[in-house]
Amino acid sequence: MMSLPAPTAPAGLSDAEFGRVSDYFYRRTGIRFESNKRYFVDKRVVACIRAAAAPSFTAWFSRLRLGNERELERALLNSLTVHETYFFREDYQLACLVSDVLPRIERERGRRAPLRILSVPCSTGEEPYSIALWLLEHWPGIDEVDVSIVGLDIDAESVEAARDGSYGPRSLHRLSPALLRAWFDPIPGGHRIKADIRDAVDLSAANVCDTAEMRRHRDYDVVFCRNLLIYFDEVASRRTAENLFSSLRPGGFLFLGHTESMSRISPIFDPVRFTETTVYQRPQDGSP
Amino acid sequence: MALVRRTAETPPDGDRRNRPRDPPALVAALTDPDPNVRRWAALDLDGETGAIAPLAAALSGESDQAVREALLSTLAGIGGPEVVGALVPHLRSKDATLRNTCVEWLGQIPATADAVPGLIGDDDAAVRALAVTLVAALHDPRVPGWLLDVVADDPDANVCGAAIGELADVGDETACTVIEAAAARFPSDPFIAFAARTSVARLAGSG
Repeated sequence: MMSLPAPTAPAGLSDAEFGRVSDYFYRRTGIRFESNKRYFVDKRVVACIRAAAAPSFTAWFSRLRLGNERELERALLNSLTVHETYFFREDYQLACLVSDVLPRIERERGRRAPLRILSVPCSTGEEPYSIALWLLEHWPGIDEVDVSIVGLDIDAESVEAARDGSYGPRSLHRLSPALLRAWFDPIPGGHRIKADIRDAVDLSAANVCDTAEMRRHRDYDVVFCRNLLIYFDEVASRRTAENLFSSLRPGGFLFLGHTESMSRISPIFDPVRFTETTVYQRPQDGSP
Repeated sequence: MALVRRTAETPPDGDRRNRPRDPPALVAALTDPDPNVRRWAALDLDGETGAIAPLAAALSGESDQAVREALLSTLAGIGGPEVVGALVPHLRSKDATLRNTCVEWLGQIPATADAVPGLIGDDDAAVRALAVTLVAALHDPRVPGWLLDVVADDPDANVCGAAIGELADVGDETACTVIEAAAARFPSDPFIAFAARTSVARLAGSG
């Protein structure tokens, strides 16, 4: 992001205010803003203060920190994080899936054991389809192993859009022309993922926070749950961690977003550090 | 290709746990030798206000971290003063992990606020120190006032220093005088002096 000097305009934050809000944000999300992000943070925090009609930073921060105004926190989270989805986003995690995680699962469960992967929240389908395309393009095991991919999202409209599988240039900007030709059909204004892929990925609506609703989504080898938990309060994020734990087989792996850390949320997973990223594993023992 | 569609609603082994809940049986299962059974029992007691006491009691002897998290997750989901009352005794546990985990969870339960005056006035400085951490996690407009009380009155340097540190996060410039007075109460304590300097610098710089 930008590395401009701190603004001198009165609408900016003082050093102490920047410190307070960046410390708060770090504790809340694990995302650390250093001084080279000062301009980025100042601008957005000031916008949040104005949107909340707060008379000063202190008044706004007090409401954020001590009040029960979840919308203030949500506005701050939305303004300081990137919440967009597109094909092959954070694809180093997909590379890690193929280079490190799947070989380990093969060693533990046998080479030809069926593989089950869950993507939650799947939004409009970019993530589960990305997983499918990455495996088809980069994982030789796809010819020998039955792979099922399931996508879940709380928003039924997003699930419908995912099932339709039609995307514009913004969603597809990281895909090469060769990939588009191989796995998509051109449509007016964009491309639609081919029916073979659409039919192979199961997409449905579910609330990952709801233990009763999630109990039927079990026995996955790998779960992707990226950039979701930071938006929950602590009780909800810990409960969701419980549900993700239950969704995995003992020894299964959980991918979070690159700024998220399960170690900050719940102690029930074991962090596993691979070359590209840290993945969280459900322990083999003490598991349903 | 070997992408195969498996409908999410029908996992290959079926749903072994999809049956009506039986709260007494679930409470009994909290002491099952199998941690998997205990964990699912704890999760399945979600919303069962009648199970607060056994859920909280199960924490004491529970060595499996995943089961302990499930117990606390269910208790926090129920919330309310009865849950707070059942968890507060664990702040005196000999098990440091249990003490600290209970502090984390209590800090997320709004009803904990009602227990704060008793906790920050506890005879045991170790409990008061945990109470400071707990208070700082609460979303309650009374938090700065409670921390100011601790800074102004607590006789223990560690408790006072912890409260000074937390005030830097939630206080405002009016706390500076109280913090400076606390530093004067412990003139030979370098930690208090450092905490006071840092907190005052931060609070004085926020407008």
